[in-house]
Amino acid sequence: MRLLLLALAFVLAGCPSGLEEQQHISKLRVLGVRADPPELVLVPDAGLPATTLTALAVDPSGAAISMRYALCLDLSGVPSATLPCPGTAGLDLPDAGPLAARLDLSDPRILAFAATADAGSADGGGIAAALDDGVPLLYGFQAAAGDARLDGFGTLTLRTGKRGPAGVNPELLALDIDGGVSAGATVRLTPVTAPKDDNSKRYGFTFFATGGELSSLRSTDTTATGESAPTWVDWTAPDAGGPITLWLVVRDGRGGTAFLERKVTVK
Amino acid sequence: MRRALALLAVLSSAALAQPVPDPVREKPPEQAPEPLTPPRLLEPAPTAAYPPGETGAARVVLQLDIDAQGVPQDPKVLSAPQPAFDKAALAAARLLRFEPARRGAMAIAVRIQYAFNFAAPPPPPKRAARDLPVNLGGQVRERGTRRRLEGIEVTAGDQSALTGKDGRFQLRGLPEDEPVEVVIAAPGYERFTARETIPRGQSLDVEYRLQPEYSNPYEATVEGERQRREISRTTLSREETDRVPGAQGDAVKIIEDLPGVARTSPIGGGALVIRGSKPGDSLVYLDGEPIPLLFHFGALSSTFNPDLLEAIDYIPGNFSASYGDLTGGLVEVRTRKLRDDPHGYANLNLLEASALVEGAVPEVPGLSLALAGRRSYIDYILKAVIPKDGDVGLTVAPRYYDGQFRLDYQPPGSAHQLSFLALTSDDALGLLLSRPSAQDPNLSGSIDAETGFQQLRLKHEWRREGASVTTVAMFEKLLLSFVVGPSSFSLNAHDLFLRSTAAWEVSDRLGFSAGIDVANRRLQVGAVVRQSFLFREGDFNRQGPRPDDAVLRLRPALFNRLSPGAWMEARIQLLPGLLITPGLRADLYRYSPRESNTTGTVTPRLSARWDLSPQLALKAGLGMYSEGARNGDAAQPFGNPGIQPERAWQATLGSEVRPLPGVFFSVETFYKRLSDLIVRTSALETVNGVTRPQILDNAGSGRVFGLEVLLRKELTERFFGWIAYTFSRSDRIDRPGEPRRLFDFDQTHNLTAIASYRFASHWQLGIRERIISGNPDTPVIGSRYLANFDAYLPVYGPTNSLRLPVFHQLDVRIDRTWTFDSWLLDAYLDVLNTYNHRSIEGSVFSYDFSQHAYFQGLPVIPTLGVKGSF
Repeated sequence: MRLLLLALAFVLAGCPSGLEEQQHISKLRVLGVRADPPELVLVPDAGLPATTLTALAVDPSGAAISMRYALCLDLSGVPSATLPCPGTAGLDLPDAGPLAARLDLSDPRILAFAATADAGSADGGGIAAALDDGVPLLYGFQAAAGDARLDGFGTLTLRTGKRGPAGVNPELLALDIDGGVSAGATVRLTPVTAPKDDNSKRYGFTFFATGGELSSLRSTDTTATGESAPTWVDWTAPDAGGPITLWLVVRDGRGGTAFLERKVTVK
Repeated sequence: MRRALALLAVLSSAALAQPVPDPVREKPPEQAPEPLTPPRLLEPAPTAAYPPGETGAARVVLQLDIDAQGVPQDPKVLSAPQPAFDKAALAAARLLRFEPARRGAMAIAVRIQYAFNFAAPPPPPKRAARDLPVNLGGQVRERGTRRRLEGIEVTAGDQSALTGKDGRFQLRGLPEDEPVEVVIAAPGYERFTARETIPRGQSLDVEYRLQPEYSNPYEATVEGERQRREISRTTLSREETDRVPGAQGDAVKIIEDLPGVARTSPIGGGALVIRGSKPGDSLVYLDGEPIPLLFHFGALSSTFNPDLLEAIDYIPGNFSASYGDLTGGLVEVRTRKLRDDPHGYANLNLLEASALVEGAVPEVPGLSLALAGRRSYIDYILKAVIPKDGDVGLTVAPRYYDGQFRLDYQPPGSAHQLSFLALTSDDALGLLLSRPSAQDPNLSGSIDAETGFQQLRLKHEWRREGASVTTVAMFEKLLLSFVVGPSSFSLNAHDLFLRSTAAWEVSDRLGFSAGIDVANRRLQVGAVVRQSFLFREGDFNRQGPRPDDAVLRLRPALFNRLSPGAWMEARIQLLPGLLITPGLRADLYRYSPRESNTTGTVTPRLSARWDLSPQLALKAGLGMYSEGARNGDAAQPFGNPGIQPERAWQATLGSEVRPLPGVFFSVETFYKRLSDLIVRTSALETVNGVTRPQILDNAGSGRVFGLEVLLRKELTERFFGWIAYTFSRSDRIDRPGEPRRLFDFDQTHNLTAIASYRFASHWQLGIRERIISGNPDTPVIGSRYLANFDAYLPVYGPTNSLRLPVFHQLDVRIDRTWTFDSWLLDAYLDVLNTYNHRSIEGSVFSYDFSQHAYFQGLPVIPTLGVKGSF
């Protein structure tokens, strides 16, 4: 009832205006981190799995962005917001290209941590007992551009192959715009994806722009309670002409992520 | 009669022994005068015959010249002409005989004045009134409310009678076939006159309706002061609670305006926080048993029809041993006795419509019933205004309803009284979010909530001189259910309650009471929720559940909470005016069937009240209180089956002053020490070889102290109001070694002033001003990005280490009542936040918590309503 009451008060009183909106990109931001593959699946006799983490990090000022990744020494999967990872509570991961790092479970440091964690587990079953269902692996990262810093966390699922092979990331084909982009005009942005590898996946889309107004930050093809929903959002171009960058991120709720950037010129 | 006249004449003549001074001054004697002896009546004075046809009293003064033989000569009338009396007086005067006046030894003639007094004859003897037939009878009621007026004098001709309890009167022997004026002059009512002509040999039956000088739609109830077991009790009658501004006529919302009660909702009502205890530590009882959901949708309006209420007793602390399983304070809502004559009302305002009918059942003496109901129509309004193709769709528009059925039975003359009460209440809301929430990407799809309860209550009361036994049995069905996107929770409870109290007043100085108080709650619970969704005290000012939290899944499972309690109490008057009340209570808390656990407490209590004079009383109390784990705190996977009850020591010291009739002034200081508070823990425990999170333990502690001042003018005819001020501090230590932090609703200063005045012109004006310290707030000092959710996790500073700005608000209510013969129409305008001060209700942040703003409260909100009652 407290939530209902707060919601009612919110509706009646309205939100304070003037706060920066999440869909508007005006500073260093990380819009998503893609793990490829999105899950770490233990396959007998195939060695320990690895994945590559790549961030969609943007800064409209054009400053060079660097990323630092670390595997967090925390098995809860629900980190404290103040967990120093990267830092004293993390194992730094090696670079794997621009804005990317490699997480390889065969890394001796990681193996040593896993052995410690397994031995210290209180329920006696250890991590192995939970691997069939999957255990979360927490990683932390820090984006830097000039003096700006942004810290964050992500999780990967480590599991056995009992539930099947590792999933695949969704694929974004396009971000359709249903008309000409002229100053002050409103157009509809519709994500186009490749067919799902698993139709039970629920896609969640997130939209960002360096200018103009997006009608919503998020859309989904299926709500959390199973209803079909429209995936498009409306975007109203700024009143002044010029180049605008739009970003679209899709997440499948099982660790899979894809992103797409589209540049448009407002006339 | 004759004797009386004779006596008067003698007295008059005796007065003549000192002659009436002559207006003409006598000439002074030329030589030394000899002694003068005045004339003296020789025999009793003759009686002057009372003239026939006269009715009044009269006095006739005569001038008599008494000759030397003592015989009156030439009497003359000196007083104003009264022909019949003059003639009778002159005739009697001639029969007077005197011993003559003398100068020295010589008889002389003198002139004197002599008066005859005529007393009015007594009225002719009547036949005794009781011997005359009743020829005018009827009933006196108040105009509009039609309530019967007792003790009103009805006068017609030379007859009068008082109305009885049923408002009826009887007049006998009034003149027939001629107009008789009937007059009723009663305090508080306009003078009533009527002319009735009673046909010869017949009886006239009438009904008179008196126009009240000011409108008062309430049944006036005068009762002796309730037996005081608590040292801090404030009672508000419905006449006061119904028209307090800002409450929209909802009596229960008034509780928030009393000293010691925190403001928890922007619209009044809401969670009950008394003397710094968390919501849930204080309960609202309806005639002895609790009400599970006090308000619709958290705070809109109460779930019980306020028209059925008699009064509200507010007991903020050190309550009697008859109440247990709570460590805060309590509110006892008392229902009124049903009326015998037909009564009802219909009420319409912007949110809801409600109605009530009640009355005695014909042919069954002592049986009365009432039926009441209410339904909101917000759903119809929202359906009309919310676009169907928007991002937020209504699947079940918010609506609420409640209903009450009450039956009272007391056979005439019986010491037994039975009462049956059935209650129902239901709230429902359904939304469909087609796009995920910006704050929480998990949140999309259905948002459904339904809460409701049904209660069947049977109450039996037996009273004899000095002794009573009261028993209330109650069955309750409770539903709490919500789906918020991927989270869901459902609770179906079937509860049984029994409370029985026996009281025995041994003498004026000694009394005992004892009782049992049993509650058995059987709950079917299922849940898919994130752990942080189950917020606790200390979390209120945080920014909601975190999106990456682990999901807790519970298939529907049975939980049982049995809490029997037994108590006893004595009331001992040690000295005149000094009453002490020791009490003892024992409570058991048993949780089953999964991982059964039984705990218990024995809690002693003592209070004292010393009435030093009718105007001054001192009071003090000290007691221990316990509260078993609630809301799943003792049930896996929500809590810890081994959890112990929370405890509180409460102490109160204060005084009451009644400087003037109807004026009450009270000052109280209080201190509470809280221990064994149930708090979160990250510890693990091993049960049956399985290690799992302990989730909760009893490591918390806290303290509350403060001062409450109440200056109250109780309702007399036109004015009531109060000023309540509370200074308090409530803080907690969540775990040993952690710093002390403020309680979520710690409000250092809380000042509420209420005044309401009835004008003779049937207008009533009320105002309420509140000035209250802002709630504590928890700062956010940074954030972390959660890549899997595209959301941000706040980094908090010390809990409740900031404070929101001061809240202040003025509410105004204006009522206008029209009184018709058989019904009343009341129109009201209740304006919340009249001067539109946008108070601060909380903090909001930008998506990454880098920008902060305040969440503003409600703007000015007028509520219009009309209520017709009969």
